Amino acid sequence: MTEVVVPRASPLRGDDVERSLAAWLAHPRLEAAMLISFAFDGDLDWSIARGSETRLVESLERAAASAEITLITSAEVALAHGRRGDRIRSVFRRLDSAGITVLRHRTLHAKIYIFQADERSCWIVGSTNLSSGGFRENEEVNLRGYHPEDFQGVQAFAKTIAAESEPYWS
Amino acid sequence: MTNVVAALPRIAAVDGNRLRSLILSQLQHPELERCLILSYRYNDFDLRAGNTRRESATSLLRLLEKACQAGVDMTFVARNPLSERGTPSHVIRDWRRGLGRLSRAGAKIRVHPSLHAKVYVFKRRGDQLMFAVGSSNLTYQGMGFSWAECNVRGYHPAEWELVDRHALGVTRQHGVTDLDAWDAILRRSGDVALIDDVFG
Repeated sequence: MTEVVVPRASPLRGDDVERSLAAWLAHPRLEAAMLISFAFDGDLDWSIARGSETRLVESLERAAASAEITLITSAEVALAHGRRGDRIRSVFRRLDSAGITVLRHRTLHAKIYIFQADERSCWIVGSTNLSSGGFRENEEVNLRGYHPEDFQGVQAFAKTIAAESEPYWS
Repeated sequence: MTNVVAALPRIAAVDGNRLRSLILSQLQHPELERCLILSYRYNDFDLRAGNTRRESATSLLRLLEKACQAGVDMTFVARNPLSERGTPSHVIRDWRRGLGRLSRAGAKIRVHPSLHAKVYVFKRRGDQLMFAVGSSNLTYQGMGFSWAECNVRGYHPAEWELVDRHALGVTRQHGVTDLDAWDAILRRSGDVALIDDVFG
């Protein structure tokens, strides 16, 4: 009998990442999520799931009511000047008030998204930033997987990046 | 798969440094048969020395050229630098010269209008496979010399086939051109200064 090998990860485009993030952040038993993205769309004038009016910032706030949420972005984006910087600061203030840990990393370029709910965990690694470019405009390739062994490896990597980061408000 | 590969984690997260080692070792492997690279940016010649201008015998560009000349079926997809306003002309010139050399060496060059993906797919004789997907462009910054990157690499055929198929699909999308078509677009643009810089 031929052994059927199930793939442990599959490719996702940017809009697939958007849908996946929306679904995980709305998961009723979400326990923890870490979102690591070089870019962060401070304007947030986009809805996270097509056909939904919910914005990313609102999804994060709701998720933070019962889950431990960490957002890490690059210092380059986090410390932007001008109107863009003002907008990002106002969004981060909102996220901070909701209990979300907001960190900045000096040289970040990685894009990693990890989620844990019940006994299930999910990781996404690739080129998609938390931005309209990443979700809609660019041709992106990411991988998503659920296998616990792979999740542990990606989670350990994400924790290293978190350890290298500093609080946004420091 | 060899026992060595089978003993490695099936999927692992790797930073830019580790990815650079993996890519360089694949490119120098005598059994390499096919290589597909999607990189948003490509304008650095020497990843090993960390020097973006000076070439060495083991520079990335030379290794890519050598692999092509040794018969590797190579496809290289990069983003059209004209699609982003403000790209300096020297970056476009280096990009065009590097890709021109690869094209002359036998690589299939594809120019994508909106690529931001970074994908590396390798196949060696005997079905030894490797892929990586992540945030690392094939540049000095992306390969571990300055930015904190995250990629996942794998060797298993189950994931490799999905990644390979997906990446091949990107190469065939609407708006993807070859280098000759890109040259024609630039010449038609009427940007004399840029045309002179790139082709002069």
